[in-house]
Amino acid sequence: MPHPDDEMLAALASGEPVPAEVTDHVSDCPTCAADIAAVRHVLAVARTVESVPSWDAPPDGVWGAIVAEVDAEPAGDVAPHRSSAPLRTVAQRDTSDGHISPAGTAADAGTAAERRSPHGWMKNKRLLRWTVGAAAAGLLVGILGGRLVDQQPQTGVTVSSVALDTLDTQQRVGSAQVLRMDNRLNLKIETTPLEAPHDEYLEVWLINTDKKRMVSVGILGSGEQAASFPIQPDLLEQGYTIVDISREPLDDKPAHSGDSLARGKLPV
Amino acid sequence: MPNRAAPESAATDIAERLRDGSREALAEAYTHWAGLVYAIALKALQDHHDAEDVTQQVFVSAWRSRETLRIGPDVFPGWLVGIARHRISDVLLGRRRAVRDVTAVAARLDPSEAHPVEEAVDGLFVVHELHHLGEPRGTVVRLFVLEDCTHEEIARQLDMPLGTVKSHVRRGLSRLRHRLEETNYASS
Repeated sequence: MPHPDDEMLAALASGEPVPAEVTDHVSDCPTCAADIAAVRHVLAVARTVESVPSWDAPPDGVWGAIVAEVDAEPAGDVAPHRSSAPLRTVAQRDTSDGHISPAGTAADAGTAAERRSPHGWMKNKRLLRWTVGAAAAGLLVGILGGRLVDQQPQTGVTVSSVALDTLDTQQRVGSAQVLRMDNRLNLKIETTPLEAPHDEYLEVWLINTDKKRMVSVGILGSGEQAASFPIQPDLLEQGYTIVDISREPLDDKPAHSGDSLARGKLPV
Repeated sequence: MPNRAAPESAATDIAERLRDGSREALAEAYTHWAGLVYAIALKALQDHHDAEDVTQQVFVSAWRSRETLRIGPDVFPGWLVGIARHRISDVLLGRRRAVRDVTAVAARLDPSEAHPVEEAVDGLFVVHELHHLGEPRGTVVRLFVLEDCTHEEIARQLDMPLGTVKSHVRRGLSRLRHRLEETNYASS
C-alpha cells in the first residue's frame, strides 16, 4: 500500500487503533517509522514542560538594540549585491608565488582565476601533499599565512556567524565566524575534530548563494579544531556566504569534490 | 497583553512583508514572537543577560537573512526558533570554550547522547504552538497532550462527537510536528 497520510500516522502515534494494513506497512517502512517518531517526539517534549512561561517580551532595551543594529546597515540594501564579474566555478588557488596560500586564494579571488593553470595546480598538489604531511606530523607552524592570525589574540568584531551542520542529519559539528580587524576580514572555523583519511584532506570553501560559484578559502588540517583564514572583504557582499567544509581526494581536480562534511549559511 | 502570537494568516502576512524588506513587519514579528524566543533562550541558558542578547541576535539575524525565509502556513515561528537554536548553541559553545572543557563539547555533539537543552527548546515551542492552534482544535489537543485525557473523555467534556475529537487530535499533532520540524531548517 502507499504511505499512510500524516493524519493516519498521527493517529497511530497517539495510540488510536488503525487498520491492520496501516500497521503492516509502517512496521516495514523506515520513512513512516520516522514520521511516527516525529509525532511521538512532539508528545514527549510537550509533556516534559513543567511550567508554562509567561511569554513576556524581554526588557525594552532589546528592541532598541535591534533597531540600532538594523539601522546601521546601508539604506536601501534590500537585495544582496552581486558582482557583475563572475568568478570561476572551480576553486581558485594562488600559485603565483609557488606557495600554497589559502589567504591568497580567497583574498585574490577576482584575479586568481586568470592565473590558475593546470601546471600550477600540479605544482601546488605536490606542495599540498607535503603540507598535509607536515600538518599530520605536527610541524606546520605558520606556513599557511592564514594561520598566523591564530597566534594573536582574537580581538576582531564578529560580523557574522553561523553553525556548521552536517548536510544529512543536520548535526552540529562546529561554527564559522567572520571577524573584522582593521578593515580585514577573517573567516574563523571551529569544529569538533573532523578526520580526513590519509589520502584525503579537508578544504574550506565559500559557496555563492547562486550555488554556481565558489572559492576555496583554505585547508583545514585533519583533526584541527580551529583555524582562521583571511578573506577578501567584498566576498560576502558578492553572495559568497555559504561556508562549506569538504573532503577532497589528493587528485588533480581543483574543483569541489562534492563530498561536503558540513555547511552553514552566514547571515549577511 | 504582550506577545500574543498572531493567528496563522497574520503570520504568513508578516513573513511575506518581512521577506520583502518591511521594517514594520520586523516590529510586528517582535511583538508577536519576542516572548517565545526570550522564554526559550532563558530556559536554555538560565541567564537573563544572555537570553536578552540571544533575542536581539535572533531578530537581527532574521532581518539579515529574511530572503532565505520560505513562506508557508506553519513556517514562520519555527524559522525564528531555528535561528534561536543556532544562537543558543553559539553561547553554549562559547561558555564551554571559556572553561576549556573540550570534552564536554564533544559529549554534547555526540548524537547518541541525550540533548536536554534541545528537548527543553522543543518542549517550550510545542507548548507555545499548542496555545495557538485556533479553536476549538487548540482546546481538544491541549486536553489530549497536556492533560492526558482520552478521546472519549474529551468528547464528553466538550460535548463533541468522538470522530470530531479524533480528527482534531490527528490534525493538531500533525501540524505541531511540521511546525517543530521548521525549527531545524533555519540556516543562520
